[in-house]
Amino acid sequence: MVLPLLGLVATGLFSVVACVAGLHLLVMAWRSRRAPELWMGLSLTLMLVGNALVVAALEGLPPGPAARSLALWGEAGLALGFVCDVLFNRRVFRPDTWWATGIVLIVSVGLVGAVVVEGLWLRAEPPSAALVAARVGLRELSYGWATAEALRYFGLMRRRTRYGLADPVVTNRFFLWGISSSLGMVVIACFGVATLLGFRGEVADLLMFVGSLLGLPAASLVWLTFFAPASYRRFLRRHSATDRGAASP
Amino acid sequence: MNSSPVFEWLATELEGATSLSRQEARGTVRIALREVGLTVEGVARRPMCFVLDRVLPDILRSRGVQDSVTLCSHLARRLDAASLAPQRESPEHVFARLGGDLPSRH
Repeated sequence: MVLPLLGLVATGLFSVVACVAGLHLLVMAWRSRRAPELWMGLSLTLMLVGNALVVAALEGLPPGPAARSLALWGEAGLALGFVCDVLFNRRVFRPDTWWATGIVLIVSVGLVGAVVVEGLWLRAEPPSAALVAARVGLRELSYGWATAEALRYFGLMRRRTRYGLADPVVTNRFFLWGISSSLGMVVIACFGVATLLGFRGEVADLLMFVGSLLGLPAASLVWLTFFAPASYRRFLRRHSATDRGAASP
Repeated sequence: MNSSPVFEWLATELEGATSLSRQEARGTVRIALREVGLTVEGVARRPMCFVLDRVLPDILRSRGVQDSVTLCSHLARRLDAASLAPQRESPEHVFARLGGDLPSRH
């Protein structure tokens, strides 16, 4: 009883933080008319709405056409959220590369296509294992790319910080974003396997619990990424100054 | 991937001011940038001046360029005054803005 409740609290906390961060970014995008804020804000918000609809379909409705329809709307929200995520990666990290455009196309066509296929042809049936596996693979690709880019850039920024060429708070933001994206990969894997198991059995329950529990560290990371408190910023700057002082002759 | 106007400017100037070939000049600047964690695509004017001041003189000396300190300080002064194409927004700038460390308006 305690464990599912803990998972629920963790998921709820993550949802609140992601919702606040997503809306905050959308307000920023509306004011500044800039694409990165828009893509990231839409990504967080759409994924949150999509996830809420899927959970409501699974937990709140009896199995049947209504639940399937609600879950499908949820999957559509999640698909668009991941499309926004790869658009953010391309715009921020790889604006000129052909392969980044390729990843955006693969993820967009794959995830939106999966929703269309499920909606048009499989309306009455649960999605096939192949469709679920493809969806999980494309989501992992999206978050895997975000993780790799953020951590690669964190490495560059760390070197810059040593020479006083970068703000340690911004450097740390790349690290936080990279780690939260990697946690997202674990969550996707947990829920993906649980879906393939039909959400039945001890293994599926454990995976769902682990996936939900990871909402707790993910919430903290997203919060620190976008709303780092002054004390945390001071700690990072002081720590960085000490490092630079120790490194200089 | 497109290199930044600052990188292109410095590589061209270095090629003209030394006996380095175009490829050698570009490679030398690339190595200097990598040493401090900067990228060819995203390097801006001010960090490049830092590279010219602190990193490039030693690398140029090791490649047989005479009086590299004077050359680099001359190039830094010229870079400061050069008129260059506008720079694309770097990931560093975007992440600074997303966390509220830069103004979000133009």
